[in-house]
Amino acid sequence: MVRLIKYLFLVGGISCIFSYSLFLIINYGLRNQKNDTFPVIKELVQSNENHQVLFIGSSLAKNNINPIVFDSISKLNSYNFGYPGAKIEHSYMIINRYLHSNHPYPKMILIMLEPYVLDSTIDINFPVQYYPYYKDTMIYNFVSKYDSDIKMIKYLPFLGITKYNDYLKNLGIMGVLFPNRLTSTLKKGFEPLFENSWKTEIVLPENKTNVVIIPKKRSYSGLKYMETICKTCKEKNIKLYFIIPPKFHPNGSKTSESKGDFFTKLQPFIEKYSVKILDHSNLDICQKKEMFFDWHHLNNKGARIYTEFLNSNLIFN
Amino acid sequence: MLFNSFSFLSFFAIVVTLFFLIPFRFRKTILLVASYFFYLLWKFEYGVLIGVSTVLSYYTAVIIADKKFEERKKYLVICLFINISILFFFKYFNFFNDNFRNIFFYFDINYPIPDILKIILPVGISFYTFETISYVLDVYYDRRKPEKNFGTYALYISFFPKLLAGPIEKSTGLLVQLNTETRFDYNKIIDGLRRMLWGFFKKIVIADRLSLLIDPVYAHPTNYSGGFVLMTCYMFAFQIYCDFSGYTDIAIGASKVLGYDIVENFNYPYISKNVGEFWRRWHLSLSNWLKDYLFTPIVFKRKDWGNFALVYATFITFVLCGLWHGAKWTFVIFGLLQGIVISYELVTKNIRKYWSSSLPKWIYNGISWFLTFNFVVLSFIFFRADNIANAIAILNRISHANFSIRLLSEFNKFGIFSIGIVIFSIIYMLLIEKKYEPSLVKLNNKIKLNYMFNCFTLTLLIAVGYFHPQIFIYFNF
Repeated sequence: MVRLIKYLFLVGGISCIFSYSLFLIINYGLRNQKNDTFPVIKELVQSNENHQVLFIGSSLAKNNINPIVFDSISKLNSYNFGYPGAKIEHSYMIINRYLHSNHPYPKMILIMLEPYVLDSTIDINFPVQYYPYYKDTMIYNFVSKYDSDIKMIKYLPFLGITKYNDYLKNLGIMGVLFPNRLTSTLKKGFEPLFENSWKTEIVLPENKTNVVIIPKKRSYSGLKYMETICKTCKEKNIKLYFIIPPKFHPNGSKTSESKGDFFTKLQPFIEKYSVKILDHSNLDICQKKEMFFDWHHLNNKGARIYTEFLNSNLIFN
Repeated sequence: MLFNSFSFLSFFAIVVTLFFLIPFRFRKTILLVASYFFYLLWKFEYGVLIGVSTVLSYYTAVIIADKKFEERKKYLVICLFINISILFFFKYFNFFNDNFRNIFFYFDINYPIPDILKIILPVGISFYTFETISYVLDVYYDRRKPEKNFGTYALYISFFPKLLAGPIEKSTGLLVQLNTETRFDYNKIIDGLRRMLWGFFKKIVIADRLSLLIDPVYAHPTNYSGGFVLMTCYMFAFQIYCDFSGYTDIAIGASKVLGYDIVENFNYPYISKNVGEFWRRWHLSLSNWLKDYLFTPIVFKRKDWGNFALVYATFITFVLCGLWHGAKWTFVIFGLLQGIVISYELVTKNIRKYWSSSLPKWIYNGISWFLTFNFVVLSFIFFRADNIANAIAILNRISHANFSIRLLSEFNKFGIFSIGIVIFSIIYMLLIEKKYEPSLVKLNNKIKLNYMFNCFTLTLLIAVGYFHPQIFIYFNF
């Protein structure tokens, strides 16, 4: 029996060491990757670059605001930390992690808000992308709330590699072998969407001047995170803006969703923490189909025009 | 509880530990409880079926053994009738019901049996029913004495490593071993664990990864080029082999760890030079069962017919073999194709012998292998397709196969890394099985080589396994 246990430990041990080594190698490669959200997470965790403006939110931030355009006009250094599917807890973690790093605080933070962002989340989109940083305490604490696999990786790191699919292993290997040959579509976190991807067969609603969208019943349980963000920004003297992003409203229609319950919920923060709210849901751009990739996301051209507008709007405010 | 899951590994570790810690007289009880626990986790009601089948066959054998040969037949018939009825009802009722309804509908006649009987196939029923039948027939023909201990017999039927998808054990194999004392044998345990590891490798690294490539093609064949569909059909031959032989490796390995040897199921099936040989190398336990309990009795009964008896028996055997795999017309066609080709091989045996003598051996063998392998791949289209229309769509795509640049882009969608892993793993599997036999028996007692093999295969399994447990294909049968 002792001989068997020794045998199993030896074989298991050697395999675990090799598997863990491979996990570390893939992690190294993924940290070098310039695709998906890997560069954004790397910027968050590893970079010491001083960004004066941070764009935070879901894909509505990631695809709608181009920091390069913003920087060229404002002469500031900004970065887009938008993460697809992110809710307010996610934004809270990103802001906290950024402020935790060893660089000056940003001058302003802009959070793209939609009513659904304030609902509580039961999972996070694509948590595997955080696995290369599972040793980072703040990242781990956040991801482990929604994803039990990262807990397993912490205690049995040799099994970490089993959580990566072939696509990620491939990205990891490319990141190890050809780190200098990797190209990226990301521009300081901004991911441009192609202008010609709009589905032309979409049937537009009839010509109505004011489409009343009945909002879904929302829990707004993320408001506690919102409060903490506001408090932190006030303490650190960071200007905080809530932005209601543009949406496509065809044929002159306008949305009333952002002016309902959602604004009422935001009002206390606006007053208490001097937060500014910029409602961009009914801009002229919202009626131009050629500016949109789909109903919610601007295309590259739309993002450029909107970023220019955002910049001037910020100066005005 | 799937074999390729952490819950099975935990379950197996607990069973093995308990098995060797307790005295021999309690070991069978532990295994029986574990086997029923393992089976009932699928669905509690399934336990009733296997219980009924076990009790019925056990007591029928006891009664038969006490009777003279002339008096035995009625008990045998009753037992077979009930066992086959259970199998028929749960596996084939929907199939026949649907077909009869269609026929009645065609002739505009009212069909009385509704379509509301949603019967779910109890996993493993085809395998354990064949075991109960073979046991009763063995006792009937005085090939063995009935088992005295009901618990031992129940364990033979429900033994968890082979319960869900075989191998189909004859009563003269496992049942005899269950009555002999097994001891803690270091070498046997190491061999068993190595075999299990090999099975996991084949299933998790190759078969499950290939399913990502193959499943979408069979679901929507018209979305893919003919060349890609053809390549997918070849890939399926490896998927089904790795899936089923992987399961068998795990079953044989798990049994070996517990000290029992169960029968092998595969012996290099894809090197066969004719279809008859293929079936002597593929799913051996089923082929042997069909040969012993169906083919041979038919030939014996129709011995006056001469060569035609062989053809007749071959047809019946392979149609039923196809139908055994599943209640679908595609399986009937699969069986028919095997029957037709094997009958052809029987009839042309002398002519082919003449051809083989007039051609260089390597040319003849090469052509034979090529034709056999391609026939097997072709017939597997009916095996894998969801229905006949789907199989025809696949064949239609293949008939328009060309190898344009589109083929590369289609493979590229699957991912260069995945394709690389699949190719490397298949080559590794073929080399290992060629050098050390599919049972890896040639690795026995080679200490250093064993360490290297186990460490490398385990690392490969962890590093490139596709860890989204998928059901074994043969669980559907």
